[in-house]
Amino acid sequence: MISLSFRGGINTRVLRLTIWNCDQPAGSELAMETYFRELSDTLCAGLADGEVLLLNYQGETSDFARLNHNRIRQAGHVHHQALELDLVRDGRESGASMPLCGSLDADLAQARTLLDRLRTQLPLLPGDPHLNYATEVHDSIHCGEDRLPEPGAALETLMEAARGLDLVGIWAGGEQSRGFANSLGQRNWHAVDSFNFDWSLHGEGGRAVKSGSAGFAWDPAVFPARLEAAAGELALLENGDEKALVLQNLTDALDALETSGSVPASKSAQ
Amino acid sequence: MQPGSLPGTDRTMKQEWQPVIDAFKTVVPNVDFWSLRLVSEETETLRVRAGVVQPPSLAQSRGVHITLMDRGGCAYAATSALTREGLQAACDQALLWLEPSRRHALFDAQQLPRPQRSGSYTSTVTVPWEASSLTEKLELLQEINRMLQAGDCIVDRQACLSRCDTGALLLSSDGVTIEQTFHHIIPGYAAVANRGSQTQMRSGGGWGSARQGGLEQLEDFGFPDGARQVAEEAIALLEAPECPETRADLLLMPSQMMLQIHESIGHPLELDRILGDERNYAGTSFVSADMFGSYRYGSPLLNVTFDPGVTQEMASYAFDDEGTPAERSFLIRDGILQRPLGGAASQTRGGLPGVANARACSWNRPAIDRMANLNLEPGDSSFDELVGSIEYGVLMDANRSWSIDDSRNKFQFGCELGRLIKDGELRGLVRNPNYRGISATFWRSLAAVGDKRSFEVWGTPSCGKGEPNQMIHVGHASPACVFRNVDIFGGD
Repeated sequence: MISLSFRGGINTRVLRLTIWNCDQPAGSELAMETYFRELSDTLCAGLADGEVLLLNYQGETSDFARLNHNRIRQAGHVHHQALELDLVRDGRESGASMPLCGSLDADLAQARTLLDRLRTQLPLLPGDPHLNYATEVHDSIHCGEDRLPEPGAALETLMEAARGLDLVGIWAGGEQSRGFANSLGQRNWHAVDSFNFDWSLHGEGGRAVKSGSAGFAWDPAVFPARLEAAAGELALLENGDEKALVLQNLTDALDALETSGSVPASKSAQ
Repeated sequence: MQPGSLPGTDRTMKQEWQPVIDAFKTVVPNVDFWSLRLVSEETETLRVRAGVVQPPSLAQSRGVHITLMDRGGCAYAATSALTREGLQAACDQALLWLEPSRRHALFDAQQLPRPQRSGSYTSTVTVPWEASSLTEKLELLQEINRMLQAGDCIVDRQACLSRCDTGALLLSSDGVTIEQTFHHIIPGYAAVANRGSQTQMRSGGGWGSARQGGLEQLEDFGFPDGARQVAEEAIALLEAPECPETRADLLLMPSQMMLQIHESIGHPLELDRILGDERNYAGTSFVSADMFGSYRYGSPLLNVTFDPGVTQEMASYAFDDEGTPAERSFLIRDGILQRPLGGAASQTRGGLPGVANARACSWNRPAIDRMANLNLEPGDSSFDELVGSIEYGVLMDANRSWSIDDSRNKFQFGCELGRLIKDGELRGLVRNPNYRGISATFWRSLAAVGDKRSFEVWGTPSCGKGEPNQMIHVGHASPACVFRNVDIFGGD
């Protein structure tokens, strides 16, 4: 697997997401934005007079690990790419979606099959009085920077910090990408790398403190600090000192408002 | 349609997937055990709202889920990139997770049972989707829309009809091959009536539910024949009195029994919840492992089965998604808790018997413990006898709202339609009927169970659980049931 450099209009980065084209010579690979653009250009070029095509792309390349008792319950990787097609003609609209398998020829063939199906369907439909789609062209491209650690490395630090504690939750991180194209010439692309660690710390008698963090960059110092605070809150719950806990949460919230203007995402539950 | 053949093709599922299988076998690493689950799904949806045909949609999904187990570790990778390179990359990613999963495993994957038996399953379809043309289906939905327009106070109305065809193929390194083909039909209609500040909605025709099979299932759902009645009930509810706040008997129709079974029997009996896996998201359970075999869950009339063999029910299958053969089992017998809803992995972890309910919502998720077909077995009371047994109470039909705590114990549920019962006779409509209870004791107030004549097959296509989230279909079949001395209230 080789990642191709992609020079975006706004940011410059190396796209982690890679697509393989088995119908091209070995080693020939297209970055996903380029792939989507080529797919869109080809499909739009094949339209009949009077047809309008709207294309939406969704992609995800991410890792996840579910934790229970501060151990790994399930861990894995998801690579998912899909294309939505909406065909409009004579005030009628019909839509379909399909997975992208990574072979440009195969994906184009499947998209054309679906378009033919939509073409057959459209004359059977009445006019859509609510039909509405954007006709002004606004291009955009955004490719975020990958500032995430290797998933396994992130998990190691989390579980080490929570050693001996009953940590439950999910760590998920990776790239999400979205694309739009239409036969009027508009092209949009948006890709970002982000993580979400949604977790809770559990104690005796069903008591728990819920917390979480998410962002575009991973700071290994954040979780230990939040974990320490959660452990303190859990101790207050287990000691039956809910009043002290409420006061502490109020103080934390006021401090956060003074310093950053936002309240940290943390709540306690029993 | 031949068993195992894909919708719209003459090729079997195995033939369709063979290039991907061949490519996978060239890249799969040398591990103790692997499995490959290949899933292809197509969903077509038609809808007419307020007399306007909505754009039809056709959604296709296709991908593979890889499981690798080696020296006690277990890791997954799922991909829609079905080229050799895509499969190679997926295997590489799963391999990266094997070592952390081995070092920090919640349980030893070496102890997990592996699929042993090959087999196949196909939904029974009598009248296929294609038996009716697109034009005919849209005209049927338009006709329902016209029936739903029962008066000027109907402010919204819609009818929909969907099909979902799924092919799932499971292969393992031990040579097991399981082919399963599912055909689901998802119909429904609803009308919303408004007058002043009062708004009422009624639904029917299978709204919120689904069945395995083809268009032959529509008649059982009252699709389209019940549409006029649904709209007239929505209008009548506008002027109906509020459901009284009282403690009285409750007669739940099968469309609400579905929700009652789902929330206060199904979720609490999921073994992964009991083992704590879901504490951060879906919740925990008031049921603990030591209760199985002795705990009185309900009255002696309560018999609940895990039944994957009801032909038209949504989650009928021959094998779960980890390859465990599915068999009918009692979860609750004569009111006593027997076994949890736990698949092979949870059974091993918990040291408890279970059922074949390790299920994944699609190719891109690993299997977890889910409900499948969870049914309340019929009793021996006719519907008239159920009504006749109630001196004062309320009949409730069609779920409208639900709220239940993290451990699936304390709940309150609302229905679309209520009807008073006095001195053993059905009386007038009441609007906004609700009731509340506690799962641990509610089922002990089960006083009468309807016979086979009131037994109906329901379910929901959208049971949510798991991290990453998984939305999956489950079946619930039940007769009408009577509960004594329940907290009932209205919308005031």
